[in-house]
Amino acid sequence: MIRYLPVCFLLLIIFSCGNGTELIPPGTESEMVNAGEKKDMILLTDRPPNFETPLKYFLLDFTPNDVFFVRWHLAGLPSGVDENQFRLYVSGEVNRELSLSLQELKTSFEQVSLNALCVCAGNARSFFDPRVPGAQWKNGAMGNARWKGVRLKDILEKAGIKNGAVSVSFNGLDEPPLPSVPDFVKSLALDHAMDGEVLVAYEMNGEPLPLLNGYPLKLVVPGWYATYWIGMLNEIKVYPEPYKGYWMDKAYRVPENVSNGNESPDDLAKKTVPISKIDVRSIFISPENESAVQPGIPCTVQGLAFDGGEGISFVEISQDSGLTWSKCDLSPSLGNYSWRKWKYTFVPGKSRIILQAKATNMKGETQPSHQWNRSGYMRNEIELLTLNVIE
Amino acid sequence: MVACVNQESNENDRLTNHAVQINPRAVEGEALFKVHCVTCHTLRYIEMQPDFSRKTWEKITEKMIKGFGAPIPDSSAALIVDYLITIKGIEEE
Repeated sequence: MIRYLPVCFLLLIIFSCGNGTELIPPGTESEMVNAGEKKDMILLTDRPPNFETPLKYFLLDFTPNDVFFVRWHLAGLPSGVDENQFRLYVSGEVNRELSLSLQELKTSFEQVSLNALCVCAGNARSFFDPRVPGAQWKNGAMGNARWKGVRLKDILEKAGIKNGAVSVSFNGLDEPPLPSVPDFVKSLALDHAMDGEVLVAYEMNGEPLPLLNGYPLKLVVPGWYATYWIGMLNEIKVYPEPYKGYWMDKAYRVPENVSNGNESPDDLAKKTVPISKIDVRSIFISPENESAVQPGIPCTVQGLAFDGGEGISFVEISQDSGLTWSKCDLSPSLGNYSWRKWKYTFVPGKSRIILQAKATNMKGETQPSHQWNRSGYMRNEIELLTLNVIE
Repeated sequence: MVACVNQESNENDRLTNHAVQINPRAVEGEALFKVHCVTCHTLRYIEMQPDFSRKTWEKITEKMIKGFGAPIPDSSAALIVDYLITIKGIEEE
């Protein structure tokens, strides 16, 4: 039996003064979540839950499950899933329909693991200028994990794909608050679904998925934004034509054929396509914005870079508003779908420092100095870090 | 330990302000906002937004009604928008 989430009973909301990160107006407090399987997370909403990770946790190679970001669209979220009764259904243009238990998934298929970064399509939306409506994330709507599960390809091959099949849809246990609200369903082209890299994962970082991250199953689409990473995945359907649905055709759209999904408020793109691959980006992690540093003492800045799976080629820092750039030290790769850590050491002078960070991937794609779209997606504008020099 | 926080009254304090009290349409809009906009989600969705123009708040409200089927009559929607621009509105040129 699926019971819906009574807000009062799941969350203890402790009001605390967060040290607001970079672009939040001074004096704004972050409310924090400390309850059940989640700790020390920044609360955006509680019904449905949307929490982001404080920046400091991104100093770790992998994001601990208890601070991993949470994002749900629909308030009809189960407060528990019975692992014995749960079934993953596969139907549509298949030779045989499947109804797979968790036990079958863990024993009848080859188990695979993959490091992959999960990035919300709207991560960093609150930095857009001009501002746009939507969940007002800072940089914390992302997380790096080692995912363990079964290849989607292997599941689909067990069902047997009929000739003429073209697309596959994915649905989770979460349900709309009203019948008129479209259920949250996403789709992939059949070729993509069969690429051998898309996973149906039951474990992240060595543990079963937290409920708020989609227990018992999460679709992992390496290199694509997290809107496709359906949580509480329980239905896979195969179609003989391209899937049609609100959350593919009306929501999560970006300008067609424009790098960085860029448009301007006075000149909105006429044609849009579904968001897909993660755009190359780098961010600062430490020190945090407006931190104090001492003159003459070497300062090491740390950050992350990531893209849609081509791999990061180099990350550069500019100390002079983009006139000149110096390469950072890149940490060893954790896999092309993971983020890549970088660091940069310099000696502050006496005046206020504004650094810029810019990542370039193996395809030569890099970050623009200004990026905007009407929905606040694919954020990858070159970011600034301000450091105040104090004796 | 899990405690039940009275979220509605805290949201009331955060969202109500003086400008609303002196604008009868906004007063009515506030009451309608608190009834209609919680049907599907917490009011924090609105609270976390920055200030937007009337046009943007109208588009957002229209998306709730036309896109998601929120059962809000047009007259109520207009009053809700008047309230929203009172608390989170940008003056347009």
